[in-house]
Amino acid sequence: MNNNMKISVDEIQKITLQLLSRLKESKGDEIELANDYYWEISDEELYKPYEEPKNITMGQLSDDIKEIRRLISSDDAIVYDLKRLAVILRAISIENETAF
Amino acid sequence: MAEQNLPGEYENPYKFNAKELDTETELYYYGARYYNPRLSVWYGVDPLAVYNPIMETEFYGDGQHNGGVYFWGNLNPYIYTYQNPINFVDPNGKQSYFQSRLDSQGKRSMTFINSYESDNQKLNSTQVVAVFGKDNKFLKYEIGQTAVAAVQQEFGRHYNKPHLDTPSAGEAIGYVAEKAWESNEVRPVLLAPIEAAGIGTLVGFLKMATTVRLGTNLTKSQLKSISSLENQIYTHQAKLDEYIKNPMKFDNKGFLKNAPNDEVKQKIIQSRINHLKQEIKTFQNNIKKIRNE
Repeated sequence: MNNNMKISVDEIQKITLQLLSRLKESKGDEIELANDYYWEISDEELYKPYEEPKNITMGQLSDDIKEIRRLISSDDAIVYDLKRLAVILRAISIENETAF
Repeated sequence: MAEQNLPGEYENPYKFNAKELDTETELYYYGARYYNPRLSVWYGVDPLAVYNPIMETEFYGDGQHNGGVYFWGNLNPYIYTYQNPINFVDPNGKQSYFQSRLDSQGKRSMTFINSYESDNQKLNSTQVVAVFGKDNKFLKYEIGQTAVAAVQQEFGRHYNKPHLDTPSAGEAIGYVAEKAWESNEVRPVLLAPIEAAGIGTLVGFLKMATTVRLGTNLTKSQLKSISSLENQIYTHQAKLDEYIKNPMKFDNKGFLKNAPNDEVKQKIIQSRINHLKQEIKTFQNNIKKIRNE
């Protein structure tokens, strides 16, 4: 098995905390996102490099934020919520390219 | 509580408390008795008020069933759930059997048990029944298939009428199911804060409890995932409908408002609708995968 494709959850946790703490130092505790809608390639097509995606839908960051905020007071989290977190982190990254 | 259907709506005979509404008499059939929703009284007395050792195992005259004749609520055999339909339920037309206890936080809760005490009695398809063994230990809940359908129907009804604030039978059933899952040993069921839990959650729990009844091989964690996914389906379905009704309400940054032309605007809206539909489909597929279907 290719070791490049393996990552421990601990490693992800560590690097996430590290990056978020750097972000907090640089941008403060609250970040406002400028964008809202984003294009999304369907899960079925996302990892098929030989085919051009056809099913493109539109996600909404405000909705993703609302959904993951709900999880703070509920135990209804599902794996899908990692995806929401990912698109929010991606938006922060894109909108704050030079933060640190 | 007589229910009115809108023209074109599916006419489900199981309405208030998932009981069948007799259209001729406009009374609800509860198995043991008919219930008049307008006058909130029973037709026919509570069977437990009449001594009948062959048909019934309890008799108020002997002080049985919630204190029997020594409890005011049993002295009027026509009243419904001791005039307190929020805390008590009456699944079969006999009096509700309840127990009051303090929980770990010192909060008092009412628990209900109906008159079923063994497996011997046949489950009515509209009922949720708590089954207790001879040692008085909670054994299981049994949920009739029509009860499941009734909850789904209730969900649909609430969904179309979000301002309907009366806790419904569907919600109550869901809550029973939730508690059935949470607790295997105590007599559960606090029916009071029914509104606090979303109907989606309740339907999810109900399905989960039904699955438990059917003797599934799924682990508790898998059942929890299914329940969470079902919640997601219901909340997303609601979100989708809200979005279709008024996409501008969700236009937080004014991208729709400032779209260069209507065609672009419509494209965004349609893509957003497709996205929400896709999310629902993903959740449904995930449930199927967990269930190995």
